[in-house]
Amino acid sequence: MAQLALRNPQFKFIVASAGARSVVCTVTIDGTLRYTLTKNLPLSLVATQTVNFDIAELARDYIEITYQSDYVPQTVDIETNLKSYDAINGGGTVIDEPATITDRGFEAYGTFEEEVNPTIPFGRTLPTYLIPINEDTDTFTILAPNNRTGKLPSINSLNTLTATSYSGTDTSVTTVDGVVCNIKRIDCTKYGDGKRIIYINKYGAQQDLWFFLKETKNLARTNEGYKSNTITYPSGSSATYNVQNAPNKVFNTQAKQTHTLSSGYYPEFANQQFEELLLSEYVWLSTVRKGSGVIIPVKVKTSTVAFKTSVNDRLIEYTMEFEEAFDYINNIR
Amino acid sequence: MRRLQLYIGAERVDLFKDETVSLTQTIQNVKDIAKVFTEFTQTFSVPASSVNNKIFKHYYNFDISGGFDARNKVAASLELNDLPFKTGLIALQGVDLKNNVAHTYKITFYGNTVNLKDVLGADQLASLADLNQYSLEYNYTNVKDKLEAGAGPLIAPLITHTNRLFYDSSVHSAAINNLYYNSHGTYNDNGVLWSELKFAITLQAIIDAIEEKYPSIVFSDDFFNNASNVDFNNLFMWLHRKKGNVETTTAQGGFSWTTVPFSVFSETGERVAGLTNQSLVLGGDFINGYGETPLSITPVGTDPYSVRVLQDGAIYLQDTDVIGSINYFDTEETTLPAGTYTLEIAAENTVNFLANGISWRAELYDTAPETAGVLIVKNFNLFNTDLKNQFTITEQIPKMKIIDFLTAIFKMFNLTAYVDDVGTIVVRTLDSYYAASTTVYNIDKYLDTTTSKVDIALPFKEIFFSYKGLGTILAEKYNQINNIEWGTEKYTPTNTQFTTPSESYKVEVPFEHMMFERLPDVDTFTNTEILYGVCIDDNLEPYIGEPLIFYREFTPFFVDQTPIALKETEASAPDEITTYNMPSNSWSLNPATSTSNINFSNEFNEYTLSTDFTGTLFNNYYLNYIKDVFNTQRRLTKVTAYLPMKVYYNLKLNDLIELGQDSYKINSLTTDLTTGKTEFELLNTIL
Repeated sequence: MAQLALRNPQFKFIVASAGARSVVCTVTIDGTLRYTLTKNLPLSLVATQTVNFDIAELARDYIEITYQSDYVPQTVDIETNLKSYDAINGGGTVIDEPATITDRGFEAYGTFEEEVNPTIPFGRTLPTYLIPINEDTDTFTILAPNNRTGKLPSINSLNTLTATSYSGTDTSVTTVDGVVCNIKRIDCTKYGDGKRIIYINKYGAQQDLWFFLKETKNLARTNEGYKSNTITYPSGSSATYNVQNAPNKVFNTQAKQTHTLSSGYYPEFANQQFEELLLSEYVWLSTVRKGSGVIIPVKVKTSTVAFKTSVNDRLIEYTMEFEEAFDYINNIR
Repeated sequence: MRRLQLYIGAERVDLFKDETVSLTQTIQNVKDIAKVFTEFTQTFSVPASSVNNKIFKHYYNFDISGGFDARNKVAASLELNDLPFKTGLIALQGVDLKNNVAHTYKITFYGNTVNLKDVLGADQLASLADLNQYSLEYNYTNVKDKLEAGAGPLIAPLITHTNRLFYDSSVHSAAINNLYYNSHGTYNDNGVLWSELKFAITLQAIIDAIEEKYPSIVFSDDFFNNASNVDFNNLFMWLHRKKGNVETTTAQGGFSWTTVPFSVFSETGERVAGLTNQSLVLGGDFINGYGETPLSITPVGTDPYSVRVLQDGAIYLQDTDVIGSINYFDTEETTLPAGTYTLEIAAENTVNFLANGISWRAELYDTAPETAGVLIVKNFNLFNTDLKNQFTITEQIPKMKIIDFLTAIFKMFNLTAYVDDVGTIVVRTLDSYYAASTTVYNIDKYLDTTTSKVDIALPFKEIFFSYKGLGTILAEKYNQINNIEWGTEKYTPTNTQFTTPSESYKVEVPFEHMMFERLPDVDTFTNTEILYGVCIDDNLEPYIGEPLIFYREFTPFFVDQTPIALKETEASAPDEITTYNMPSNSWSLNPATSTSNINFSNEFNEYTLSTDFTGTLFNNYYLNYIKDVFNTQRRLTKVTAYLPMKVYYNLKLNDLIELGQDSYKINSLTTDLTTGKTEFELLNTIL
């Protein structure tokens, strides 16, 4: 079973034999037949021909990404069945009927260099964490504030998806099948407890990224206005107006909050995490509202990042702006 | 801030964040008076989100079987802040792709009034199979019967198709077309041949047939479907498809097409098809080929016969010289699409079909081979082809699109239409529409006084109201002599000419408007009581023209109504007809009873030769609106207001708007649904 990165095209193909006039591809997602695709071939084949179908967009619709407190990646099960027939529109008799292809789809992506039909974990061997790896040392390392717990998503050698918890004092965490991730603890008490950003990373898994230094919050307000007619015509007296009644009316007032977070100093290998944060379509901010912790959806407003290196920049620190992905005044309908 | 919700079926469509939706509403626009069906369309660009991809089934991917069928509109609804706002249809226009991935679906929402055009399409009146319940044999007996008929939707009016009639009480013998019936003496050979006459049907019967054929079209009983609305209810359309004599299919092919009288044999599962007036009605699902529609015909014996299948009144299949049993539409490729199908069979010799010898099955699949439902119709009794000169209404009704027919009536009576909350098309005259509301909204506090505009409300220097068909001999002569078309109103108040507007406006009704003739007795030079029409042009040649409508005058208004002579053949003696259906342009021949008529201008009445019939179409249905348009105090005021939901949601186009202490009618209003910003065009009320 392949682990498909559904933000990329995923081609399924059949080698149709001579005499085939059409190929039918059925896509079953989470046990329900969702799509039947039919390609007619211009003429009966005189030799074999490979016929491809891209199923990624079709299957990706069915991954309903929401924040998961258990950090186990959300996926869809995909079954692709391809058959060739000797008549158009899947008519006549079946000529080729290879075995049904079973896959699992992730809200994940491969890069251009990772070539066609990328699969998770992009060349790494199982078991592994579903987070970036320090390619120089081939080790996993994350940064977290002192006394903060967390979870790390992983996949084992049997393709089982899970998440491993770490305590507030752990400096490393090991999965049940022995994969180690180092946790570098940071003291950020000068600026509070640190700000946790959660995002769906390149592997389609939920990952934390801590911003240790200062946070600034901004509120941007918009409204509209018009010049109203406030005159009234009381019976028995002259037309008049109320001086407390503003002729210049304001309406449709709305606001958005933005959070500007400074990452603190990160090692160079962590650039990969900031890249994946920038490319993620699902990002949340862990914050406090009315004394309680709450996870809110945000959009990464920063659109460009100059990757820093220890050679050029000595100390690597990023400042990123996040906009709350909702209006401040609730208007959800 | 208002939020718009768009639903396709029960699925809520994802919209882009800042979708601006602007709605223009007008019931009668002073700038385009003849536009009868107000339209609402709104184009949306919606994101190719996972929700929308599921609704539109990745339309850009044409390999997907059973994908979204963009050839047909689908039911949709708009809600404002979750309150129902408009129902209608969505059409998918296309998909924009970025980087080879779907990015935006382009869809258009059509309000329900437009739906009328979609439902009717280019269908002709001839497709209204329900009218054939009035079909009958075209013979002397039936024509005489319908000439004398005092009630019912089908009559034979005294309108001849080729020959002019006259009345000469001095001639008794062999005077064809002389209507004088000699009840005394030996010779009695006068008369009009029955075959000079054709049948006519009420416009209400046509409206009924439209509602029968299109279940989604239900008219209110304000103007149509209202027996007390005599101005409309007594109008007839002459069944005159071709100029000259009636030509039935008997006359064409030497044999008669007979409609097979189907009845339901069995029906199982869901309702997938219907049987209406012996016609098989297939719904839209059959378009997709998920059904079967085999027709099987088994005659007795080996005499040849011909088969004809009509789809919505037009020939869909015709097969001649068939011998023995035959099957049609029994393969996937030949499965019938949606439509109303009638089976007709003809033969030179009588061919018999035993009961259940003709079978038609409509079977629709949910997902093959699971069947949703099956309807089987068969001939319940023995059926045979015999030689009948059948006057089939759908073969004889004038060529006219149904939508043009409705539009013509709307123009005649200055009707407005809108769809109410339960989907009924409310049809009312403009005056009654405005009179129906007494609500006044003072919008002062919502008014944006930053800018406003007052324009001249006189877009035209004059307005013509006329019929398109004015080519019959007397109407033509009227034009030649008077230099104005028969029944036409050219309106400017007190006949003054205004120099500011440069254009004239013409409201033209696509019906024939005949000038009828009251026959004098050429012997005594006194008028008879006979009013009749002749459908010939000024070259005295038979004339086709536009569909002719008229009022029926039946009741013998005067004690001495003149009897007429009707002949079966030239050689036979005539029958005396003492009461008969006469055509007229006025609802009554007595202005004391009613002055209503279907002239736009106040013409001399053909019967009374007086101008007492002041109830013209213009006076009764247009004058109030038009005279205000030409009033010197009339202005078109354009203002902007930010309407709250409590006003906008309840505001109707016949409500009055109050600004300060002045009241206005709404000419049009355009609203940004998300902000409530409304651009009003208002017409000040003239008292």
